[in-house]
Amino acid sequence: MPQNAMRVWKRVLQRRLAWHFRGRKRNCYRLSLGPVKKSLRFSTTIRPIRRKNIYHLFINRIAAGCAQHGIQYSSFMRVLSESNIMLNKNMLAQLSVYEPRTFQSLCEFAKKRHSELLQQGIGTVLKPTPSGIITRDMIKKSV
Amino acid sequence: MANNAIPRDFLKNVLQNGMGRYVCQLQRITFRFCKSHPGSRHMRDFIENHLLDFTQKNPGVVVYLQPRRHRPPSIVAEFLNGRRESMEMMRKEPQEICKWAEYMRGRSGVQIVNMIHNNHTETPSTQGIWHPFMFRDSETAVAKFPDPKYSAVRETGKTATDYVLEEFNNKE
Repeated sequence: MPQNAMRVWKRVLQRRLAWHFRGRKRNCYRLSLGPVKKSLRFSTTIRPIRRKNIYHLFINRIAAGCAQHGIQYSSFMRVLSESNIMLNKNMLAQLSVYEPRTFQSLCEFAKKRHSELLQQGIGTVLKPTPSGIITRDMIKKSV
Repeated sequence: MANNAIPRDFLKNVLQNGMGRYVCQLQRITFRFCKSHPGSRHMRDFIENHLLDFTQKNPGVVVYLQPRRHRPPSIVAEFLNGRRESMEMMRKEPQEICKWAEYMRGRSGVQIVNMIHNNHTETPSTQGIWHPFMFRDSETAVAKFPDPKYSAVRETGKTATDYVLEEFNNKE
C-alpha cells in the first residue's frame, strides 16, 4: 500500500478545477493550488456583484427602450408603480427586447399618465395660497 | 454559474425519442458486488429477489453481474450515446437499488450538469426581436445622404418652463 495514496487524486481534483486556466498553472499541481483557491473564492464573492450588474443591465435596457419612445426611465417607472402595473425590471427588460410593440404601448400609456400627473402638480402650485399662511413673496423687500 | 470549471449547459430535452418509437437509451447495466463482504448484502439481496423482475420488464437492456472481491457495491450504466455512469450502492436497501436501476433505465445518456437557465424556448419573441431600425423612419433606407431633411436642426419639445408659463398665462 503506497504511503501517500491521495497523491494522484489531489492532482486530479486540481486539474478538474483548473482545466480552463492559462499557462503552467493549468498543468502543474503546485502552481495551480493558489489560483484554484482564488477562483473558488471569487465564485462566492462575485455573487452580489453579479446581481448588481444584472440589475443595472435591466435598467439600461429599459431606459434605452424608453428613450426611443420619448420618455425618461424615472418617469416611466414612477407611472407604472403608481398605476399598479406590477412588472419587475426583469420582465420590462425582456419586453423591451423581445416584445417591442408591447413595450411601446406601455411607454405611450406612461407618457399620457405622466403628463396628467405633471398637470396636477403644476395645478397645485398655481393655486392661490390658503388663508393663514404667509409666504416670502408676500413680505415686501425694503430697498 | 458557480465556477467556469464546473460544467454547465442550457436546458435541453430528448424529445425525439418518443415521437415515433420509444427506444430505451440504457444499453447495459452492470451490478458490481462482493460475494462475502457485509457491505454488499443489500446488493446480494437485490440480485436474489428483485433482479429477475427488472430483466423481465426490460428485455432490451443487457444485464451483467460483476463480483469484485473486497470492493463496495455499485451499478454501472452504459447508454446508447456512449456515456457511462456509475453509482455507489453501499448502504442502500434493495428497494432503493430497484429505484436506482429504474432511474438509469429511464434516462437518456445526456450528462447531468448545472442549468444556465431553467427554461428554454424556441420562440422567445412573438412580435419580433428589437432591431435598431424597428421604430425608425423607413425612408432613411432610400434617402441619399447628405439630405437637407435629415440634416435639419431638430425641434425640441415643450420645456418645463414653457409649460409653466403657459399654465400661468391661461390662469390669468
